Amino acid sequence: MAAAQPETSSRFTNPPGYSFPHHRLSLVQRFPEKQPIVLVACGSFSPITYLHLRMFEMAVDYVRQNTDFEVMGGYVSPVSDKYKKPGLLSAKDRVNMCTLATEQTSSWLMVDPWEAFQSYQRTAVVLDHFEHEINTVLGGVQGRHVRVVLLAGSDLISTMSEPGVWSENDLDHILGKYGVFIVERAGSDMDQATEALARWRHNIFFVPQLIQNDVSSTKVRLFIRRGLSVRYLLPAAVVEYIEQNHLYLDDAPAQQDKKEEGSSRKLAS
Amino acid sequence: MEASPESSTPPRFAHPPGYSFPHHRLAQVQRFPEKQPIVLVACGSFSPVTYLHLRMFEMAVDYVRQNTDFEIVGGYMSPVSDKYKKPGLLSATDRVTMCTLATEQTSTWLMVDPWEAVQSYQRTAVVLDHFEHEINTVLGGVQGRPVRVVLLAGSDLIGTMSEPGVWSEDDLDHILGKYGVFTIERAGSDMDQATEALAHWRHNIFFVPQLIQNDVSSTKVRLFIRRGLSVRYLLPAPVVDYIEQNHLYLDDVPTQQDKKEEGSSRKLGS
Repeated sequence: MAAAQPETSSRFTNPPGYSFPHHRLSLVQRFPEKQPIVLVACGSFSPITYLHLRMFEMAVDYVRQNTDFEVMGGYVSPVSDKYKKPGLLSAKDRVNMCTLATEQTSSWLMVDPWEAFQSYQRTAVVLDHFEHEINTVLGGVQGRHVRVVLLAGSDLISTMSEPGVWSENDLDHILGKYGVFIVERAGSDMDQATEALARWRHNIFFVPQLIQNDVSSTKVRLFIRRGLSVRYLLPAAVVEYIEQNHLYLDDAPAQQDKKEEGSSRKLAS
Repeated sequence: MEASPESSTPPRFAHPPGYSFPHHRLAQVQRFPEKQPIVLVACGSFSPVTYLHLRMFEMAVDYVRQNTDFEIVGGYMSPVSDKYKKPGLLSATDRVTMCTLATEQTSTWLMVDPWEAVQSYQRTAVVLDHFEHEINTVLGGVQGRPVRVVLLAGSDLIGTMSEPGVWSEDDLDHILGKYGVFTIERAGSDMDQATEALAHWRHNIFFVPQLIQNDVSSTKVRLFIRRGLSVRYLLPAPVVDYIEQNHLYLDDVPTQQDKKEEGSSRKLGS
């Protein structure tokens, strides 16, 4: 993939006091013959769970066993709360929880609050921001261009293959210029999605998920509303943060939450 | 349901050398004295202990609080003896150590009892009798009240119990009749046939619904380790570190179950 055209920094709006976190970005390759990459996961992370953290682990294993890439860093990029999704906590709380999770349970993951602390930015622009900070500002790794790659669950690919959800330009930008690792649930049928996105098939990497570990943030919020334990579904530090700050108790359920609540009526309230 | 007290004949329990019953986290006072005090005991290989095992206890606590008049005064993991000679079973020392790392560092109420692990194989019914003896006869229960010992198990246990010939009728009556079991019921699984076969003890079988699919089996974890794949976030970090530092499970001889699961995971490049 050719290096991107350098973006002028005036095109990016930064939150007040912002600086790009890179304390865990490897600046020296262990395997110089491999192409250096960075993983970026965008999402609500409301709250972050062990499933989100596992996605990064699975991607690293996949990269090592199936590609000529070397992962130099991994970022969690929580969405802005200007997105106004029901059940979405303040950016501050979500960034705090992600930071507790990554700093305390990982040696290589980082949280970038750039997206979270301003008005909504499209995923394509978020990836451009990483491209700019890592390659233009920091100059890449040992002078080499680092490829920015999106990391996502299979639901993202489904929305991308639905006509009209994503603009053709953004698809080309995200899938063509950058690429994506999709964590693929065992048994899920990705053929239709793959067909719709055939043009960028070479840039879509399917990471098989062999251990079913479907800890959705939606279900976690449901459990908290019902006074049920979420220990061992998320890092302990995040569970404690939620308890201490009384988060999610008055959560107005999203449509998705209401659907899942209906299917869980077995629980006595 | 009151546990029926044993007669006063001293029970014939083999005690491993230097053994003493752990009870540092057993509640000594009830918070809700109108409720019946119970203790959960989970028996199994725990090779290794995973977040699924730990979740079972959390789910049982929620279920008990919302659906019963019990109060949980303690929870125990009881790893099986390695004299059981199951392939892939690590030494009792390693398994007890991993369980202890998990319970001491990630929980405020769970404990590990090594009684079963460090001696020759003991039947589950006898293991439960041991807990009954230690908690009620030796310690005198909680505030003088007998504590009911209840088994905590995954859904596969009830499956084996309903298969004719796997468990002796006496043991079934002992485990299900005298003690009782909380069984984690996977969403969508069909428990009707098992329930029918065990109808005699239906009142002592409590089905705890599992609403979040979190099927981290120890078998799959061992498979991952053999293939050099990450198991972080499937088990507590101290257990992952212990496995790495001690190079465990790398030369694991796969069991039949392991080979079956390995066949279905051929998608992974080796």
